[in-house]
Order: sequence, then structure tokens, then C-alpha cells
Amino acid sequence: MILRDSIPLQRLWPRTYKRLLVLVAFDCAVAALYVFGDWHWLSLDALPLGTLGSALTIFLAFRANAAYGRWWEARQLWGQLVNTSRALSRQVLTALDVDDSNPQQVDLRNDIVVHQIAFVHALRCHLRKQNPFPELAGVLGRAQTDALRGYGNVPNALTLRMAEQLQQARELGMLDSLRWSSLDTSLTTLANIQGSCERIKNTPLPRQFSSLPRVLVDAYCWLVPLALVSGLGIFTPVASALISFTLIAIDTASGAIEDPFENTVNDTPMTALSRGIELTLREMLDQRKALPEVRAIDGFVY
Amino acid sequence: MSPMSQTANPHLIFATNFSEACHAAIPMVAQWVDSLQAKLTLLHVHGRGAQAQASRSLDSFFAESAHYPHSDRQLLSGSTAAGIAEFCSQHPESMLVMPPSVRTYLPRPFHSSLRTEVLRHVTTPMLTMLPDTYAVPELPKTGGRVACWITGDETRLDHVREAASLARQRDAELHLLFVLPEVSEGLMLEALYSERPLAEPAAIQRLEDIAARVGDDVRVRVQIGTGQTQRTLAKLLRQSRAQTLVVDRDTAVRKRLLLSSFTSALRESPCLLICVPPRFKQENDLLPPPNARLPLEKKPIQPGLIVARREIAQPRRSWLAADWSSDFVPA
Repeated sequence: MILRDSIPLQRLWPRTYKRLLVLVAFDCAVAALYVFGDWHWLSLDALPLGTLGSALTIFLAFRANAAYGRWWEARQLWGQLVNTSRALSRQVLTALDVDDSNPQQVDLRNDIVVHQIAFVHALRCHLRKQNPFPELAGVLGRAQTDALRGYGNVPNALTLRMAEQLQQARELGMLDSLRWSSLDTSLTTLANIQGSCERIKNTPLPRQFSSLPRVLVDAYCWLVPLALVSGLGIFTPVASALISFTLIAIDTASGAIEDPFENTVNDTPMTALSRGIELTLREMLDQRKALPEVRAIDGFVY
Repeated sequence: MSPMSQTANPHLIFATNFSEACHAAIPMVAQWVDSLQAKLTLLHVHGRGAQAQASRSLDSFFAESAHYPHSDRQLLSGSTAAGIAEFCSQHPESMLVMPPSVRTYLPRPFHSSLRTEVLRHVTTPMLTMLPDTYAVPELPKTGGRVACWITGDETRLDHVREAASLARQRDAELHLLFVLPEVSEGLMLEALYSERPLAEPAAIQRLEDIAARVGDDVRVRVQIGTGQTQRTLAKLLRQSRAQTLVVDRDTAVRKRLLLSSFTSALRESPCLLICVPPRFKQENDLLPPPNARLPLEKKPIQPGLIVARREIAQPRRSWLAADWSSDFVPA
């Protein structure tokens, strides 16, 4: 996620330079031919172009809204994950009848919370298509991590394991059916959050929404110098390039945020959020590990 | 000194400047750490007066590695290239990871690649990727393919040793790639000062000589293509479906006046790149003379055929024979 107030133009340049350079070359050619070659038939009436520009703006706004909607939903889901993780841990730490002199019961209770920490890390890696096992080995231990290696969907395996641990607690008499049902509802919420994140990850914005505005922007940018050249003459490339850059930048910016789990600067800051969740849950367990908070680097937080 | 991937605890040194490219490389590094069960060191070299900010940034970069069983963070000050090279020299059994710089697509007439500058000074292999390599192939948990580019000009086999070691470690196939030049009058001049094979039989012979030294516990394929180096190498790599390409450092780096960069021959490579500098000082690591002959009982390798794999019950050892004598007795 970008936290800095201003975005340097050089961040947009790599995504836009090819289109812009071609258009500027075309603008210069049109201006030169019109002014020096007397090709006045190149000139177009500017009025229809204004109408076309309005229609195009609606298209671009629609696409930008759809992209932002996906980005914001992803952030909301991770906010919900923060809340659910805290709530589930609180329920586990307070609703289970644990005999503090019985290490098996204490370990089982704490292990459920540690698995919740592991779930958050595993979900982040799952969405970013990153190998979670070295990290999980540090959270769960080598043996428990190796047992997860056969699973394609590691976060889902972790929720299953948490459910099994709750069942074990129930068999040990630490939990009655009513409280078990309540805790299982929290696990279902986790599964829903995971499913929603996977839906965003696996379902791209409909291609019509993303490709049609791009084609229309390109077409419009080719027509702009023809509409401006009669009024601006040799200065046509300046105004035309500015208009083109504005439209291309909007198109590019909305394209950058439409996939919020792609391991880029426009991502939901899952690394920072999962570290925050871990710090909170370890505090609840009275395990204050010396882990620093994840801060923004050069205005970007991941 | 043994190949990095063959040591008991391989060590990856991830040199970072906290750029987007470094962040984008994190999944790749995590995959390598897991597949090699490697120790990970995050290394940052900062300028004077920037220690506090650099320390905060280093703590936040690749935060998940704080949980890795063997990981640490190192902060150094001073010249970037010299600092990285110095740190690597203290860890000779390691592999340096350096992602490419973020491309600005603006003209940089006097730009010199930091990676090649580091590569000229380090004595450890460097794992990197080229800026145009957008879709880095995912490293399979086991198996896969490791490619090694033989130019014919090299006099040492450090890169083959590293490639074979990596293939052995990952239970992968080793593909030895060779690009024959197009036949032209210029080749007649080249033949005067180069021992590079200029015809397919000589190239096959050279690759057989090298493959014979790899050891029986690694499956080897020989692939030869003819044509312009950049396109042909890319084609061979696509055909081999290799995830990793291992090259000799002097092959990878192109030296120009005051500047250096990666050779254009690697530009279309779809693989991760491991550049191997000369690491071994012993004379016994030299290639045999190009006209060396295999012993009669050694069955030559046909291009494109997998060498039959022989399971060995003895514990793994260096793929390199203890004595690389010039009379060329296979291991």
C-alpha cells in the first residue's frame, strides 16, 4: 500500500512510456504536416471529440470504481480477519476450562492460538503464491509444518486442524457443545474470509471492463491532435501529450489496483497486518516475542 | 571449498536495497530457502549517516523471514559493491541473491550495473534474474531441470560443478547447452585463437568430456543448437524447460570501457540465472584439452538422450573426483 502523499511520475513512466512516445511522435508529425506541409485536411472538428471524451470519462470512472471496489473489499476482508483472529483467541483463552496444573490442557489451548497466527501467515502466502513452510516452521515447529506439506491449500488445512483441536478439547472435557458451537462459528468466519480473498484473487476484473477503456483511450488519443491542430498549430504536441498522459495515467492507475493480492506496492498490506495480528495474539498468550512492527519503507508498506 | 548447494547448511545472502524488485523477489527467495533448507541472511549496505533509517527499513523488509529457522539481518556501511563482496568473502560457502534494479525506461548512458560490479569482486555464486524475465519459473519442490551454458571458451568448470551439485541436491536433470555459431568465413579467423568447437562433432565431444565428469548420480542431457547466440540459447532454454540457468561469470559479464553489464546473449533467458565466479585455485579444476578422448569403455552420450541413472547406495559426496588429473579418468 502506498502511504506517501505524492507519487513520483517516474512510477507511472514505465507503464505508460511506450504509448506516450508513439503518441508524441504522431502529434509532432501531425503538427509538422499541418503547419509546414499545409495539410489542412488533417484537421477535425473538435466538437464531436468533446462528446466522445465525456463518454470515455464515464467508461474510465466505471473501471476505476470497479478496481477500487476490489481493492477496498480486500482491505475490508483483512480488517475482518484482524477482528476475527482476536475474537477467536479471546474465546479460546477464556471459554475453555483449563486446569493450569495440567500441561496437556494448557498446551492444547495455547496451540490453538498459535495455529491462528499460523493461519494468518499461511493465508498471506497462499494469496501471494509464496512458499509458507519456512515461516510456518518458525511458528509451529518443524514436525507440525512438515505434516502440512501434502496439502495444496495450507490455510484451509490449518482451520481443519484447529477444528480438530477444539474437538480434542471437547473430548477432554474442556468444552461443552454450546461453547464449541460458538468457536466453530468463528472458524467458519475464517473460512469465509479466506474464500472471499480467493474469489478476488482468482476472478479478474471482466476483460470488457479493462480492455475496452484501454482501446477507447488509445483511439481518443490518436484523434486529439487532429482536433487541436487547427487551433494550436505547432504547439499541438504539448497539449495533446498532456491530455493523452492524463487519460493513460487514469487507465494505468486503475489497472494497478484491480488485483490487490499480487505482491506489488498496491497490495493490501498483508505483511504488516499479519505481523500486527501476531503481536496482538502473542500478547494475549503472554508470549512477548521481540518482533518489530512492520513499518513503511520509502512510503510503501507491504 | 565445495559448491554452495552441496554443503550441509546452504547459505543464501539476500542483498537488498528495499526496492520493489527486491520485494518482488521474496517469493523466489522463500522457495529457495525451503527447497535447499538454507540459512538466510538479509544484507543491506547503507551510506554514511543513514544507519537509523536503514536499520528500521531492514527490520521491516521481508518481515516473514524473522520466523525462518536460520535467518539473520546484517547492516553494513560504506561502498555497496565492496561491502557485499567483503561480506560474501567471509561466507565462502554461500550464494548471493541480487535482484535486478527497478527499470525506469529512461536513457542511462553512463549507467553501470551494480550487480556486475559485485559479480566481478565476489567469490561466491550469484543468483539473479534479468530485468526482462517477468515470469520467473516456479521452482518445483523436487526434480525440475537445471541448465548449464557451455560456451567452449571457458577453461574452468566451476559453473558445471555448481550446476551438477544443484541438480543433485534437487534431484533434477542437468542440461548442458551449447550454441554453435553459424558457418561463415569469420570462423576461420576465430579458429586461430579460440579452442571453441566450431562443428557439431567437436561440440558433442566437448560436452561428453564434461558430462563424463558429472558423476553417475545426475541425469545429464546434452543440447546443441546452431545460430545467433541470444535467440538460440533462449530456444534451447525453452526446449529444456529449465528453471535455472548456470553460467560462468566471465560469460555473463560484458566489459565495456569503464562500465560493465550483463551480456546480451542472456537477455531472452526465461530462467533464473546463477553466475559462478572462479572459486577454486587448484590446477586440477581445469578443463581437459579439447582433443581429449574418453576411455574406450566409456559409452559416449548421444545428444538429447538422458544418461541412464544409476542409483548409488553410498553416501553423497562431491560430484567432482578428488583428482581432476589431466589424463582425464572419469570419476
